[in-house]
Amino acid sequence: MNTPPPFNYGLIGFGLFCSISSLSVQAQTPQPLSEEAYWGEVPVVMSATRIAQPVTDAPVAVTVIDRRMIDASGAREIPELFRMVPGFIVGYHDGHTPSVSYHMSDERYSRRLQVLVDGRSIYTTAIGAVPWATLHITMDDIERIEVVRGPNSASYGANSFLAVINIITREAVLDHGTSVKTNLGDDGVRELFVRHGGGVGKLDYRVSAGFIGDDGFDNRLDYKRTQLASLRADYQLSSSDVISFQGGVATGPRGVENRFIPDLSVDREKELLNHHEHIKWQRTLGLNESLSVQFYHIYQRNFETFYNGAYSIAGVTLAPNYLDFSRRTDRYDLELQHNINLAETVRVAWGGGVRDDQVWGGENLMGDEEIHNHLKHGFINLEWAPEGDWLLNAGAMVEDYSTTGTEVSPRLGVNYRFSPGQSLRLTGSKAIRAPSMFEYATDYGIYNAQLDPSGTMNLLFWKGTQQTEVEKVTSYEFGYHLAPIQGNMSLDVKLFHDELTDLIFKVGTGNCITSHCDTFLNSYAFTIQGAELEAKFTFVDSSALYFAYSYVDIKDNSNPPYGSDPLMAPEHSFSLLYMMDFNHEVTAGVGFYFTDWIQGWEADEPEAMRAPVRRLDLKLARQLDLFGYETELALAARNVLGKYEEMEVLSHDPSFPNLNEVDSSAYVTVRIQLDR
Amino acid sequence: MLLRRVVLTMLLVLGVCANADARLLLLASQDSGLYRSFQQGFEAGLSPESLDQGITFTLASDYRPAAQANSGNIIIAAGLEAAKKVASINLGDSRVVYTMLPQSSYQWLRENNLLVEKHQVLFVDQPLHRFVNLAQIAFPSIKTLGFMHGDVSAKHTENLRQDAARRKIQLNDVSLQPGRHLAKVLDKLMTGSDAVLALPDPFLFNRRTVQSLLLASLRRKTPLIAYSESYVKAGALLALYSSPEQIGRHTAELVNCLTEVCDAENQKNHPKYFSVQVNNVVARQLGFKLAPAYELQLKLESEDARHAE
Repeated sequence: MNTPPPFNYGLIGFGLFCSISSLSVQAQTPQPLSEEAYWGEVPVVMSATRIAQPVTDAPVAVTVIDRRMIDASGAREIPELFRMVPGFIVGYHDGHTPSVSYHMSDERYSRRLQVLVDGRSIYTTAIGAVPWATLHITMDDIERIEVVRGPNSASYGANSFLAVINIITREAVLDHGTSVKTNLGDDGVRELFVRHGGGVGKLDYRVSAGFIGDDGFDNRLDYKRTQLASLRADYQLSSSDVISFQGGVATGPRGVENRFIPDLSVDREKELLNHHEHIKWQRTLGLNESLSVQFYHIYQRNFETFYNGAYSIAGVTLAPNYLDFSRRTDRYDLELQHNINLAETVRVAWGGGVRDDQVWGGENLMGDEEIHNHLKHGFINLEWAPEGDWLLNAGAMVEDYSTTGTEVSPRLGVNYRFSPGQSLRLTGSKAIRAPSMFEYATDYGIYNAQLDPSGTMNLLFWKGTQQTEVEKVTSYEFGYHLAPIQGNMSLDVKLFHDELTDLIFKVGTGNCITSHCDTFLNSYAFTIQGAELEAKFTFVDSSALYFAYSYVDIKDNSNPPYGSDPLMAPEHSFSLLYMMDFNHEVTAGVGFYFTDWIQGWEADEPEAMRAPVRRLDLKLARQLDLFGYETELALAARNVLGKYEEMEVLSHDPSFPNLNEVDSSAYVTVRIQLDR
Repeated sequence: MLLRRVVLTMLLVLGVCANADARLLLLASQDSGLYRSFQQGFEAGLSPESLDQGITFTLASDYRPAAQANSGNIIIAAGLEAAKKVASINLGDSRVVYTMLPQSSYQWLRENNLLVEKHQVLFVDQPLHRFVNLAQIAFPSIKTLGFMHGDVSAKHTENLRQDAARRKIQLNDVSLQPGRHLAKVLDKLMTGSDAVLALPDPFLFNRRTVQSLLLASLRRKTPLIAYSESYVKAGALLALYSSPEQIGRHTAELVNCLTEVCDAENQKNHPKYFSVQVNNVVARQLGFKLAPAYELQLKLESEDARHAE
């Protein structure tokens, strides 16, 4: 059990098959031009956002992680990229459970973020987290990531509570050709990816398949082996209609180390299977009007069963009991959106949709029950830019959950564009987070556990009362933005004040035998305020420097208080990424990240504090022609300054001495374009 | 007026001679909305003297020439197919006005000896200096103008470079080829240019190329100046073009010049009438605050007038 399993490359074969079955685009033959072509229809390029705006006009701060930043960062997995975003905190419960949060990191599941992939919400309603390790996209599929730093329920609904991460993948038309890429390095990193893109007639497609695997942290059983495959197909129905289909599957085992109670649970392996199907129709009705309808289904299955160890409590010892912590989620979502310019100065995006979340939890997680959560929602976003320098953003989302009732999330913002490329913004908004089904209805524990040699007892850990309500935040933001229109520098400064209430935490309510140890309750309230700065400089030699700084102050308003001095976010943090480009053949990146003191997850004791972290990552890449094939060789050296402890449950329990210790490591990348 | 338009359209569709003694023959390459618009502009632009000549409208494919051509006829060959048709018939001493013709197709006809000797031509293409002027009027701080070309539009590179240099703008030209490098090349072009110009080329009529081009423009926030209204609808920031109706009107003026006392040889070969179109949604997305299209057009017309002096 403690030995990581061998690598399995099954889905890679699927990718290779698709590559071999490639279809070529017909060659052009020189002919005199027909005059008709001058007036012929041109296929419309669709926009992915609710209302496409320049950052200068946006009501909230937005960080754009572009392709160059992704490449220069040396990041191997998507969550690592958020280290560079001001105010973001990246931690690891174990090697395959990363946590990405904003302004507040209190446990392994960062429940207060919305994450979208091409408009599809991948936030799982079962446990309220993002399955980062089983996303069906590879780093190379990503075109850019837009991070909305601030509540945005008015646009994206519940769980857009503290921030929204919007991952935008590349259109299939941009990815013709076949490539193979491998990452090999320390910590058991063995990865292989195959991508193929092509087109036939009005269809463009891309197929990606890969194997992602590593052995996790040193001295921990947290390996992962993931096989994934994905497809994107864009069909140009007419010059103004596009139908896009995306599908993907990821599966594989993970090592699970007992970090709960000695002997109760055991080191084991769990198996994951996720897949999704997403279809979207977009129609352009003219220069000022467009319509889109999308439907998607997401399936997530976590298969985790085992027998407990010989755990002793109150003078009795447990016999081996079969425990089932498996869970399954199905999400069906249908949404319509209509964008229209009502006048030269008024733009509106409105729409609505329905969603059904079906969550099943195993015997020891949710009592082998399935819960449905139906959602009906409608939204409207309006931008009014009257003559002059002022611009108004107003919006609201109405959501009706079958579990928690109806909520309204409004937003109102005003931007003063006092000179070209410069603006001041003042925005106020309210947002909500609906409880995960785990927080709402879990019954986490062992009923009638068999004792050795005889008898039974209950061991009841956590409970959701089915009375849990939504979390609420009222947010105020004042910002300044300088766009790089007239120069080579962009700058954004944000001052914020957020009032969070009804936050859901586990609260001690019982003796764990006759009643549950903890119950999820809307029991806490915090004020989070601070300042953020983000700047990007592009120099004459094409190198670029990205810099971000964040100051966060958290105040506990709870009654009774959450802890003596909660420090769920570092007071100071900053990141710096320097990107170099030597004649496009050699590129390099230097990333430095600083995070101040922060307390461990699910703990507020002084000894659970993590010391400040300084991390330095280096990346060097060379493009070359290898026997006629375009090839990239790259070396990423990570955390070269030495060991530090990753964010996790820093309980310092002598039973679990192996912390998530991050050592220096390196990996090499070889990428070959197979078509010359 | 409406009745007259309907009747003329029917005549064009049916290829029926409107006037057996007519001395103006309009050969249209196709029966389509495009040519009906052209015809409307043409009719509206004809002088009373030209109208007195009598007009015959017919589709090029339906045209059956008389054994003996009428003396002093003027044949208006609208479009490439009409131009090819003209090359196959006995014209006598008829004069030909080629119109609705891409400049590159005119060169192709010339290289293949398919042009009659006595002719005037009106291209559908805008003069290159007009694009450069538009770029500077729309973006006063422009320093580098990107120009991507296929084999056909590559011929414009040197003239465009000279026109740009007169405006103290550097031309950043890139040759495009289909295939997997396209997205990368476009990205580089957009990154290194303040605005990018797309001129007609078979390569740019390819759907995949167009989509890659528009996506690159939107993502790199580099405005695209295109040659057709459709491009603006699809996602280009600006377009400079002449509608078929505008070409028709200009063609009529060329014909007027031939039927009256006028120096026909000195007439311009590029459209006199043009339109500017702005996609305000894209302008917002790219962060540009542009003058309204009609203001850009007025300034451009004034620049044209200065250019003509």
